Formats: sequence, structure tokens, C-alpha cells
Amino acid sequence: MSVDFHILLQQSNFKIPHELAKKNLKSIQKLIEKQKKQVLADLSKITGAQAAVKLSKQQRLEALAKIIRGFDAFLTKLLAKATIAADFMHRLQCRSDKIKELQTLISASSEDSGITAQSIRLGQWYRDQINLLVVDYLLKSSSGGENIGLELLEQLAALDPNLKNLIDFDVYVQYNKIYTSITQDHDISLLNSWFQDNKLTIKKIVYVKSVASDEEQKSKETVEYGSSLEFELKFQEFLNIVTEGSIIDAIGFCKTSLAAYMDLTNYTYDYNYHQNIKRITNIGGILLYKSMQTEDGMPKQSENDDSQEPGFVTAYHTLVSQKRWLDLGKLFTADFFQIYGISYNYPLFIYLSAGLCSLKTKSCAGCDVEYITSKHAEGLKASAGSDTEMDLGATDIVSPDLSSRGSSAGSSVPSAPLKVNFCPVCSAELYDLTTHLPFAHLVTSSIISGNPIMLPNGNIYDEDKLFNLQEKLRSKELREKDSEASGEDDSEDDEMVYDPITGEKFEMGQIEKAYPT
Amino acid sequence: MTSTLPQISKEIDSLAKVSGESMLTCLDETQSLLDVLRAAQAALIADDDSELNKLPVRVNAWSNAMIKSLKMYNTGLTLFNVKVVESGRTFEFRLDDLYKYPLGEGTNVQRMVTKSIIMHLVRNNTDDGALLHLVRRLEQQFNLEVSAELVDGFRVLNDLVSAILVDHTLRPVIDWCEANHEALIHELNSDLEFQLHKLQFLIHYNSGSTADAIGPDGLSRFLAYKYARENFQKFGVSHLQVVLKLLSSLLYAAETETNPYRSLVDLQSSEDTQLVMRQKIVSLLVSNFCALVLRLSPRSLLEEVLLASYRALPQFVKFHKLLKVSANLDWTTENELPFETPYDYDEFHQVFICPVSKEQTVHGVNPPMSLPCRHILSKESIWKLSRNLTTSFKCPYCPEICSPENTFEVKFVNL
Repeated sequence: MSVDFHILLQQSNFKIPHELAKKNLKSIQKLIEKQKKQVLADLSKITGAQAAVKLSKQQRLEALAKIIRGFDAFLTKLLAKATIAADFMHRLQCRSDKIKELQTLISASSEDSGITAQSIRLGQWYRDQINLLVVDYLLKSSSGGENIGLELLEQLAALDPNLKNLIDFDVYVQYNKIYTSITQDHDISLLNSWFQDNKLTIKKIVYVKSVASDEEQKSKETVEYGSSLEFELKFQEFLNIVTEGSIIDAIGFCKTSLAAYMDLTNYTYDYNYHQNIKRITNIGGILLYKSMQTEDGMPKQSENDDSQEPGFVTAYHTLVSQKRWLDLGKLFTADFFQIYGISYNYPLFIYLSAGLCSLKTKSCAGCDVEYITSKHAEGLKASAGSDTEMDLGATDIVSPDLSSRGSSAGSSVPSAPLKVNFCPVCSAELYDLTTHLPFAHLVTSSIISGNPIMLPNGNIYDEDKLFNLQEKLRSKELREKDSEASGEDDSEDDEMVYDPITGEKFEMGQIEKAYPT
Repeated sequence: MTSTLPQISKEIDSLAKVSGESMLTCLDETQSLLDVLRAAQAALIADDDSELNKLPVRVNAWSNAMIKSLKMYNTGLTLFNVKVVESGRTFEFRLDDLYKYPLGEGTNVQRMVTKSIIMHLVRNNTDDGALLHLVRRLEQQFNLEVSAELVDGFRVLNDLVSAILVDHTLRPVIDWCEANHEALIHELNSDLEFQLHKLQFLIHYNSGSTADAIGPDGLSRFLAYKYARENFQKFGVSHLQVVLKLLSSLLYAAETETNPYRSLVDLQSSEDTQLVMRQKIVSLLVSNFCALVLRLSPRSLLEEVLLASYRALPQFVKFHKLLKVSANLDWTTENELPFETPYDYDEFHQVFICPVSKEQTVHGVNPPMSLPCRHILSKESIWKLSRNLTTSFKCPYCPEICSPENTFEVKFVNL
């Protein structure tokens, strides 16, 4: 993969500090304006001929001292903001430096396939990226309490402090805090204040969505629309008032805060208008339903109860259910990520999906097991590996799943030290994630390298590897025979070849070269 | 080869420069205004309010200078926005564009991913206390449980690894190998123990002690000899050739030109060679330990998949670009990626593509079959060639006429 490709993959790493710097700049601007206004106002009281007459020297000195103190405080604030600004630039530079590091490593790496100093450092470079992907996911998805992603980042940063410059953890922590306050605490105060702080930016958001323009979905056209967060926040306030039970207040709130959304001319995008109108038309039903409720909070039973909820009742229940909070959380997420240029899906998931697809072969999990446990070894001879099933049952215990992996421990046949299959797709750890993913599209064989030779039972091995094992297999069989104290003559054994998987013995002459093309 | 990196780092540098200059100007301007204020204060104390009366003008000038400098910064940011952030040339796709095959949503998917993350984290169990706390929190959240055995196992492994990498001593690892001698040899056919002893021998050999009466490196060679006598006996059969060379090398000093074993015994002291030497042993140790004690892959599966994704993602991008140009490209087999991604993991699966049908063979469904000439095709291809096994056919790769009864299933095995 080219160096440039890594920049493309990490684009949010270059977008976020820019957005942060922009915000910081605006806040500096505001700070200056405020300071200027304040100072000029204060000065106007103590300057000029009139002030000299009206105020004593002492009074003017005191006022001036106050201005100086205020200005000192301003300087401190400005210094803090300048430090932050420098930090954002530092982040950008660290990130391009990290990519440059990769470039150096790649250009210096030799053709050597073995371990070299470069390959070790390259491995560490990728390990850093992988850890950052995990941190990114945990930062965003942490559920309440101290942010778990931040906790991990701090631990990793203890070994390599530069990691903290490579991810905008402060942004993700803020996102996560607001998101969990919505979805877990059902509290919109944090969301509200975030919205107020970013009102102007949020208004500028443009989403593009492609919708089918005809029924057969043959042609698609795109629709532009803006953020509906402001409306949804107001609507949530309305729902809060309703659930607290004051219908009159709720109606009043509709008049003052929701009525404006009925007017198409207040909208930039028609799409938003139509979306919001759908919600507003529900309001009558909600109010009606609430007014049906009895004192104890239960809705009155209708005379002929056929247990079928009227549509508006279902609608109401949906509106005050957990789903409502999740929807609100999603809206917030979309706006937040849009502003900073963060991908909507977790990068970790995007990478995992691509990686798992590319590793998912038709041999994975089930039909085809090259590495079989010894208890299946007998079965192999009869039906070449067809009905060896892997135990991939969902386990709640995160532990090595021996049953799905081959191991020669306790083998009854003189089997070789078998390799264990570590295909991630076949692992109990990841298999469930891959069930809905497509297989890789493989067009070239990837089989044993070297000289393929075939035993009469159809097993094909690399010649060198097979013969390297013969000594071991022979001595193992000898040992076992010794222990059984059988006095067979083994002198012919030098001419025999052992199948390391089945334990069968064949004569040298029975081995054939195979031609997989 | 690369064009984005120089461009983007140039933009970053110029933005950083503007940002720094602008902030510095602001701080300077503010500091000098503060000085002016203090001067006015001093003047006022001396009953001179002329400075004081000039202050409003000064403040306006200050504010103008500040705004001017911020404008410069703002221009820099806008430029960066155009050239980098919003630039379709720099960022020709968004990451979300590559998420063609979603893992799914909801707690269950998060739980599965978390399971894998936990396994990944436990592997890097260097600082138990803090890391375990974190793992426990993840476990609680998703009702998962890591076996204590696994945690302990990785702790032992990481202690051994840091003995080599941090403390630069082989002793603990050699002790572990000796304790697991039988299993290492018989289950794994492992070379680790000998490699460790060889390395320890070489370390003695190259130690070049200065408190040396016999010669410049006589004592170190004596130590090496002593070490060989104590430890090489059990490798007399399995590693005779190497042991012979090592022992013969004792006749020479490590660095002398005439030493015929120099390439074998001279441990160069450069940092890189030391690093490689240690890492080689560590890799061997990790794979042996994981296989023997933990029955796990030497690498975290999460890491394995993500490394694979770095190789596959460029193909996803290519496909995304193609899709933008022409709408209907989903012409390949259903439930298969519509494009090729690299696969060379013969340690995972033996992927044999039938040379006739270009389909991957699968045991139990469409297995690889050997013809009498030992050319290998898929079962389905043989069916087709033999018209449902009714007639003989010519091998597509040689003149041999094959009868379907003489074909049989084969299996590729990686040892």
C-alpha cells in the first residue's frame, strides 16, 4: 500500500485540527472584540477633560488599575488560546511526520524476506496504527463513566507519548460525553449547549442523499438537506413537557417554538420541511392521547377493548421510548461527525470489514478443514475431510477454543507436530462477525510452495517439509514400539514414508509428483 | 511515487507558520498595549494625564492590529481548507465509501468486536494493574469473561519477552525452555532451546572482557567454551553440524580476519543487528509459547485482520472509483467480492483454484481431484469434461486420456 493511501485513510486526522483551529480563531476574535469594547467603555469614563474635573486622581488611578488587571487577565486567556492553536498545528505536523516515518521505512526496507531492523520498525508502525484504531473505537463508543478509550490511550502513551498527538482524543471524548448523555441519561442539556455553541456551523451543514426517482429504482437522483437537530431539540422539549403531563404548557410551547416550522419559507431545503411536517402533524394525536390518561398515569380503557392500539398510541409510545433517544443520538452523531469530517462508521469496523472479506475463503469454517484434531484423524481416511465440523458455537468465555483448532497433543498415531490453523475467519473469536460478509474473490491458487508430492491416500505435501519430518516420525514410532516391547523387525523402515496426518506408512515408490497448475 | 505527502506537509508547514506568526503578533501587540497602559498609569501618578487621554486611540490601534493579524491566520486556514480539507484531489474518497459490507449494528456486533479487542489487549499485558482494570470494564459492559489462565499465560510470556528486550538477559527464557523441553521438541519440533544456547554462547564469546590475563579475548572464549561444555551435550545429535562449527571457532578470536567462522560467530555490536538478533529470538519464543501453552496464534487475530485490511483496502478504493463511473458492476458470483484482493495465507488455508473453471475447490462440495496424469482439477470440471462421468476425456494439460473412475480426491497439506 502506498504512503499516500495512508493519508487518504486518515483524512479525519487532517480535517479535525483544522476545524478546531477555526473554532479557536473565532473564539479569539470574540475575546478581542469583547475586551476592546470593555476597555473603551471603561476608558471613556476616566479620560477627557470632563473626567479630569469630575473624578479625583485616586479614583482615576483605581479605575485604570482595574483596566490593567482586566488586561492582564485577557493576556493570560490569549496566551492559553495561542498555546491551544500551537497544539493543533503540532498535531498536524506530528501526523504528517508519522506518515513520513512510514515513507522512510518503506524506502529503506530491503528485499530480504527475513527479519530486519526495518521490518521490525515497520511492524511497530503498523501496530501503532492498529492500537490507534482500537483507541478511536473505544473513545467513541465508551459507555458512561470515565472514557475507556482515553484510559487505554493514557496507558499506551505512557510508553510512547507521541500517540496522543496522533488522535484528537479531546474531540472524541466530548462527542462521547454528549452522546451518552442523550442515549443513556436521556438528558438534552449537554446537547443543547453544544448546539448553541455550534449553531452557525450546524446551519451550514449540507447532507446529500440519493433517492430513487422512480418506483423501479432504476434512476437515482440526489436530494440535499440540512441538519434537523434544531427542530428535533425543540420537539424533544415539547415531548418532555408532554410527558411531565402539562398539556396546556405543551400547547403554549407549540405556539411559541414549533409553529415557525410549519412555514416552508423558513427552510433552506424542502426536504427538511417535509420531514418536520410529518412530526408536527403527530402532535395532535400525542396531545389527545395524553389527555386520555387517568390520574395514575394509565390511559383509560376504551369501552370495547380489542387490545389493538390505535396508531397514535403506538406513535406516542415510540416517541417516548429508548428508540427516540437513539434517534436523537444518531442525529447528533451525524452533525458532529459532519462538522469535523469524521467518518460516520467506526474506522475499526470499516477496516475489519475489508480485512475479513479478503480473508474469507470458501474453505473457511465447516466444509474444509486442513488441520484436524487427532480425534478426527481416523475419519479423514474414510472421507477426506468432508465431515469434520468445527465447533464454532458462541462462547461467552474469551479463551482459546481448542476444539476448533488442530493440535497433535495426545495423538494416538505417530503424527507430526501439526501446525495449528490460525485463520481469523475460522476462529471462534471472529467467525460470527463474518457470517454476513461476502467471500473473497480469489483467482490465483495459494497452496504449499516448493515441490508438491502426493501420497497414495491423496494427501499432497511439500517434499522437503515431508522428508524433514520423517526422522522424527520414525523415532516416535520406534519409541512407541519399544514401550510395547514388540520385537518386530524395523530394518525396512528406511524405505518407508510416513504420512504425518494419518500415520499411514507408504513405500518410497508409491510417492508421486503432483501437478497443481 | 508519492505526491500527496509532500503537498500536504507543505500546506501544514505554511499553515503552522501563519498560525504561529499571527499568535505571536497578537501576544506582542497585547504586551505592548499593556506596557502603554502601565506607562499611562505611571504618568497619571505623576499627575500627567496626557498619556491616559491618548489610550482610546491606542486601544483602537491595538484592536486593528489584532484583527489584521487574525485575518492573516484566517486566510491561511481557508487556504488549507481549499487545498486539503475540501480538496477532492487530495481526498478522492471518504472512508465511509469503503464500507460496502457492513458488519452490522447494535450491541451484539459491538460485543463481538469487543471480544476481539480484549484478546488483543491481553496480549500486550505489560502493565497488569491498569490494563486489567480496563479489560474488566469492557467485560462487564458486554458480559464477557477472559479466562484467568489466558491472562496469566500472557503475563508469563510478556515477562519472558521483556527479559530479552529490556533486561537483555536470556536466562529466564532458557529456564522456561528447559522446563518445557519435552513438549517443545515433540509437539512443536522446536529449535528455540538450541537457538538460545547458541546465542548465549556467542554472547560469552563476544564479551571481550578487559580483565583478561590470557589474551585480548581469551577469557571470553574460555567462558564460551565452559558454557558449551555445560549446555551443548544434549544437542550433539540434533545440531551436530552447528555445534562443531561453534566449537571450532573457539580457536580464533571473533573479529580476526582469518577467523573462518566469522560470519557465524561475530555478533556485531551495532544497534540494528542487536535488535534483529533479539527480535528473532522473541518471535520464535512467542510463536512457541503461544502454540504450546496458550494454543493461540502468535499474532492477535485483530491485528492479523487489520494488517490484511491494509492490503485489501486499495482494491476497495479502485472498485469505488469504478462504481462512480459506471453503475452496474456487480456481475460476479453472488456473495463474493466483485473484485480481487490479495491472498497468500497458505498457513491458513490451501486455496486451490481449478485451472479449468477458475473456481476455488472446496472439500465436501467441489474438491480438488487428481487425474491419472497427476494434473489436478476440480470435481465439477471433471464432471463436465466427462459428461457426468459417462465418458473418458483428454486431460486439458497433457495428452493423457482419463477415465473418470481413475480420478480421486486429493488434499493439500501445509506442514
